[in-house]
Amino acid sequence: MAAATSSSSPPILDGAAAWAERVQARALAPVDAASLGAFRFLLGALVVAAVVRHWAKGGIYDAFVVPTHFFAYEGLELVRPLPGQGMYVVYAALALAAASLAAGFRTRASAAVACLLFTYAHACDKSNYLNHYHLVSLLLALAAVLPLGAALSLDRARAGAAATVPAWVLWLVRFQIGLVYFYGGVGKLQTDWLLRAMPLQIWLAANGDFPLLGGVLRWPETAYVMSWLGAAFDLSVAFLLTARRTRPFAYACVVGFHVVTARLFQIGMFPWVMIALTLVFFDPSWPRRVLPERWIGPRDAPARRAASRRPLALALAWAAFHVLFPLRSHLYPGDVLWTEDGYRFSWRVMLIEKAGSAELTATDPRTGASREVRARAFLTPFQVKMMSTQPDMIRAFARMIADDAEQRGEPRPRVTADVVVTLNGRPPARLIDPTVDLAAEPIRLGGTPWVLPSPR
Amino acid sequence: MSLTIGRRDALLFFSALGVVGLGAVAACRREGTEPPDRGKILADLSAVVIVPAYAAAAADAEALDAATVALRDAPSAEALGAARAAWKKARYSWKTTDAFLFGPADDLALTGGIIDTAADIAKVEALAAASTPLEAQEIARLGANQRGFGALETLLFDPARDDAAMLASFQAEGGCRGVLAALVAADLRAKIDVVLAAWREPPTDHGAELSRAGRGSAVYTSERQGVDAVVNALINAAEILIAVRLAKPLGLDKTPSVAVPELIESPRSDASVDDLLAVLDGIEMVYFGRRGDASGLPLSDAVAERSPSADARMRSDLEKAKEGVRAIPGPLRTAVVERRDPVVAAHAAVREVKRCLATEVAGALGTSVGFNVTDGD
Repeated sequence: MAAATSSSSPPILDGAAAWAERVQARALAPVDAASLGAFRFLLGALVVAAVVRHWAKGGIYDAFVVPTHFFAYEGLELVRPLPGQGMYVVYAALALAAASLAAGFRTRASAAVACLLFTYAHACDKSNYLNHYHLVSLLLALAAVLPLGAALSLDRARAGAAATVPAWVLWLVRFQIGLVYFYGGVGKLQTDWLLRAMPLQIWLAANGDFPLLGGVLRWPETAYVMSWLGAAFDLSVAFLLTARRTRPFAYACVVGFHVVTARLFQIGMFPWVMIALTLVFFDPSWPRRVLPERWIGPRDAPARRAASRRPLALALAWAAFHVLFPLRSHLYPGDVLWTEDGYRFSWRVMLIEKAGSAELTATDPRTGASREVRARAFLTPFQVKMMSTQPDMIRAFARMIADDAEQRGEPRPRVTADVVVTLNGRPPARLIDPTVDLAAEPIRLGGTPWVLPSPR
Repeated sequence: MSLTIGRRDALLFFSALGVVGLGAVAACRREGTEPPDRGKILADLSAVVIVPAYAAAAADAEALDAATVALRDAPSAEALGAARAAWKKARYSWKTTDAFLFGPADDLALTGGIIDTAADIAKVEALAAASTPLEAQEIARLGANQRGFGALETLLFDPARDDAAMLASFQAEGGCRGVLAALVAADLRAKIDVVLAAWREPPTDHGAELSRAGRGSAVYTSERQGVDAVVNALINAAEILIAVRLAKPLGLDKTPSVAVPELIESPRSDASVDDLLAVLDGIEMVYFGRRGDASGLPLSDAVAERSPSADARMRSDLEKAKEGVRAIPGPLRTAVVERRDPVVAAHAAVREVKRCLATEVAGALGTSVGFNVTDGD
């Protein structure tokens, strides 16, 4: 390609074409698949561990059996938990699929099943949204299409193929994980985080029992230092993990950072997921130092077929989408921390401390008579807590109330909400226009006009 | 390029990073008072408020038990009056604990189940009118709506009958009413004793667990979990006052809003307003960390340290709520029907307490931090 354009193109284009050619050659060059094999094993094992922990702690019961109403994602209204004990079956199947993925048995099929079940379970109710659930879904999706069973797997042992993959496969997995940190850091580049040390000030003050440093954590000044260090960490760690010289320090920072956050905050498996999965940034052959060659597979055997360009193009499209999608909140009017339009799936991690009180009123349109609606009559305490600060969930709850009235043979009521919310330690402010009939409000892609201006 | 960083370099790097971090904190640190120790707040709350409140409830239940035995053995106007007074005192003591309905009282499902369920008046009256008295062991087989404070209230109070008629029912041949009252009181006392024991004795020793939150407790592995439990219980108590104790009898949860006086608590003893005040007292005791003359490091200090305005509003809202409830004229069962405005005003005032707890207090203390109830798996 470079040769074809060199005679007529400007030198800068020639240079770009040559660079692209070199990058492509490097992307298609085979690399040791050992670290991706370890990554796949850890991913599957962590999902199994998460299922066991969730089950043992009663999470399945709390999330799917106790609630009578669920907050569907827009467009996914038909996605509902299975009745009765059905979700236990789903989780059992998820654990089996994840174990199969970890073992590298029917790797892609196992990953696809695990991805579908995991995503289904977490798509049933918006209340349960977590950034790291989203990350696990994406990584399982990648495992379903990428050759992650090329090393350290039963599939490779049966096929006897080389334990190598095109380099872009490794790059794509690293990119997906690095993006979480980077956008986590970008999200912190705002005044609450940098100039008010919020919400860390509030959260650290609640950790006076931290070993040795408890007293220091309660100081507001500590929150400022940790806010800035946290932002610097998030913004830089993916790059530092990528560079060979800085990788050991960066990984030590990853471990230190996540161990501290695991102790400070109730964030479950997330720290351990990130500590385990960021090992993929190390040299692709690192597992060979700790595991026998026969488990991993030979890296010098000839590849079964030459690397193709088409998957590389798809990988670039995937990467481009995931770079752009988290930025969609900038297309909406208003403060994303307040409106939460475009907040989910954008890697904004631990940026808000919101507490709210939502009081909804249903009004009979014929008589004008109103009644108070007790949220607890419909929702679990956890759902109430989530709903009380998130405008789209408040709208959805208003519709639940109206639907319920209709099902009881009453005329569809107007449903208004008096919602007061504190954001990052500010005095409470009204979140929603209390005159708007939320039950009649459609889902809007261009923002939510009934959300009142942010107090920020 | 080979990796040339050794352990010594790494040690130096992290030491430097630690020194820079701590140095930055120290350089920024201004002189000032230390933020309140939340571990001490929880320990004081347990030692000064919660455990003594349950101990008082148990002592008052014991006195109630004794008073009903005296009434059973020698029914008289004085004995009936003493039993009623003991019921009201024990009831008030117990209702203050609604403000910290977490831990054993919740886990053991005693409060909702047996101690404090609305009575099925017809069933209780049928038991009292039986030809043969109930045996002690039979009480355990009765439903929750025939036991606890509700059943005992039914036996001791009846606004439809004057005192002489009530006394006569205790003096009737067979003495079923007196026997039943004594059995229910003994059962109630035993249940409250179980809750008290769970708070202050092994194996659960919940009071000690709360005191050690984040410092060796197996129940509260962090101070924050302890504070979350306390604040969420306060919010829940206020929520129940608004939505169940006031909105339902007022009929605010229905269209058209028609009062339903049958839904008030303690209807026969006319202690409904006292019930409301007791819960607000309980909320106040927890927030200010004091009970009677005893006081500890209060939760209010932690709120004020983060947000003085939130603390000021909480104090003001609590005061207004108590004023609003005190301003309810006469028995609640008649007020919800005949003089609704003061009851609606009390409902609005209590709602402000709940709103302040759920927003400003919870926001200042960071009780919403955490991914979800199951720690984010």
